[in-house]
Amino acid sequence: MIWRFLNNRLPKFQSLLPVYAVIVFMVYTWTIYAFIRFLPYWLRFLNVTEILAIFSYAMLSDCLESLGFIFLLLVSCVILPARFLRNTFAVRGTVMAVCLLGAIIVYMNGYAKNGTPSLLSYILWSLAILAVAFLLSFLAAKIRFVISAVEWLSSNMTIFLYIYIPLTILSLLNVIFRNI
Amino acid sequence: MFKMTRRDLLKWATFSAGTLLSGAQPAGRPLSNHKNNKPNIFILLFDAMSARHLSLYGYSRRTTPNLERFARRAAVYHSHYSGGNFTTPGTSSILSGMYPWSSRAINLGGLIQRDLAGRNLFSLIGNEYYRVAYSQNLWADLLLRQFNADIDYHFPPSAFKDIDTSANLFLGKATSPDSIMTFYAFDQFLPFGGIKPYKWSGSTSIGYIDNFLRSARKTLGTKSVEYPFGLPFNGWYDFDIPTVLAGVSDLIEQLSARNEPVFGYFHLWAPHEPMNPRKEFIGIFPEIKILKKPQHPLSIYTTTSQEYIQLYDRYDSYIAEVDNEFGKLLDKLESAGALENAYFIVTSDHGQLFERGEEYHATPLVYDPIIHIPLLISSPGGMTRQDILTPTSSVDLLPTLLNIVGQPIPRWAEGRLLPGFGGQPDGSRSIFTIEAKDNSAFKPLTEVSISMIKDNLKLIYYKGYQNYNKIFELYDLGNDLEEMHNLYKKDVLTASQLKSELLNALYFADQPFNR
Repeated sequence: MIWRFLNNRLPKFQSLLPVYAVIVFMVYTWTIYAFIRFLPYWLRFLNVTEILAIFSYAMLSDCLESLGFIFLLLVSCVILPARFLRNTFAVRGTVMAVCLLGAIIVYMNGYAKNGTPSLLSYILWSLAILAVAFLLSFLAAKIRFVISAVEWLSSNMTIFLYIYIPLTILSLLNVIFRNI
Repeated sequence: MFKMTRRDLLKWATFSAGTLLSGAQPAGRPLSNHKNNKPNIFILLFDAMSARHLSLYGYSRRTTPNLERFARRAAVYHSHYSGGNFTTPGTSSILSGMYPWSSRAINLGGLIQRDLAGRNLFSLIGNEYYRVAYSQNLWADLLLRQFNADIDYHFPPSAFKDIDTSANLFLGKATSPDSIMTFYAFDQFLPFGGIKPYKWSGSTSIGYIDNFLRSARKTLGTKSVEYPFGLPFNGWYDFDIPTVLAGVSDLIEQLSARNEPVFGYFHLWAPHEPMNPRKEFIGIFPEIKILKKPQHPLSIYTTTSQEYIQLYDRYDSYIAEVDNEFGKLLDKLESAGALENAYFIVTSDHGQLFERGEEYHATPLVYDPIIHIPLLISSPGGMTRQDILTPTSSVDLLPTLLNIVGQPIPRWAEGRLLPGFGGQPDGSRSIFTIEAKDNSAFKPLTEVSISMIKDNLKLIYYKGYQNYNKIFELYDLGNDLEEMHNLYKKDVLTASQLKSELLNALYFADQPFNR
């Protein structure tokens, strides 16, 4: 019964995969970008093996992070009416992922320049982003051109899974090796 | 997150390896029943404590009455210098007995060269000793993590705190198999928090959550009636000094009761910035006049005299609070008799610099206040004060302690036996401080500041800085402790001799890296 309920509420694997690919792309790419920023600092005193260890831990963290993010979207699917998210998961899920993760990235760039914001601006920013993400994802599924564009984008993003998933597996092996 | 309350501490003491005596012995009597009759050794390090701000060494404000009390039973080193001007080189000099140009612990949050990590006090003192380490400073803790194989119990940085406002999940996993790299990944790269060179988070969601907690901390603040400037903060978590020092004194008391000798290293954050003293220590000192010194070409601030006075006030108040809590620790250990069979050492890893356009110690400068640190050593049952005026270095502790415990002094040790503990004052000896945080640890030192102190003379060498390359400064510390009169071009002969010696020392230090 629960399975049937979930089956009715959760999106199909074919529409789940591209959304997950978008999340993976954004989460992993950000980490790699930040990693490159840190690299000159580490290169002063860490050797290549040690730097690869940091990279491995970061990749595993990204794996958990991306799974956590897709899990939240799936929970939203279960909670919200099917017509809002489940039936258009590939489009709305992608738009939400891009908006939320994109906003965090924009925010972190701002932080790097301007320092820690006040709690109020942080909360307002977060709420505004959530609202924008919901609004855009709602609108996106109404416009045919946007639907096809988003679907094209997300399905092409799956190529990154072929890069990032093996990278994660290698990272996992490295972490296991370092901790046994 | 690992957190040790006093109750946990007692549990740890009861169940940890080795046998404990059934209870504390009467006050004033030695607790130790060590089979091999070796003394305990405890090093208590106060981070960023400049000797120049301690009344113990003649500072005009009475900042350290309790250190003065402790000094009545100790050897007091008046010209003691750190191996570096910030945590990593300063601490590594003490623990490895090597100058930073040899250990290569020169970078912010850097490490001792991996194949040299076995060269440390914990290893050399030997496993006859029960070896305990604790550091509130995460960068110093990284060095301790390098020595984990030689440490019997490594307390995590978050031990001895009751206040928990930080978010870092991995803080405290100091003894996990890959604890050094997990620090760089989870405590430095992925979150926003901690002390790091870039305000950059490697993770979208961890960064966002971490920054939410930091925003909350910033907005809500940790200010209170008791702490008008907010709680002391080590970059990762808030704490209060009484709790930490009470925890450490409990621990030392417990360790003193073991029936095996103990070597303990305790690295406390205070009086490191942010300098947040409690209310009762604010404004306790009379106004002070400070000497206005010229802006240094390498300095980055344009601090006014008034602002420097405010920094002095904060720093001195903070030191007074640290000293007050040290006094409580001293009372407790004295009444428990824990000092009767112990060498008890008080020192620091580096000082602070509030002059010439610099604040604190993130600087290439190596003037006296930033490298001149306290050193006091009380011997078992010692009741007399001994004042040592000859220059000494952080690297001297390793050979001195090895000599005390009867272990051979390795040939690679760069320090000497401290006067008062087998060493003799030697006016011909040179003491070095090395600052090269932006230099590669794997290459010769091309961007470096070096201080060389010989007798009363001090030569400073700046190399590789933009618009300040190959510059020497010479000071006569005996007559000019404030380092106001550069004699480099006036006393040409002396300058030439010292320059030759310094460059020669640098040449040999760089030899292994000239590949």
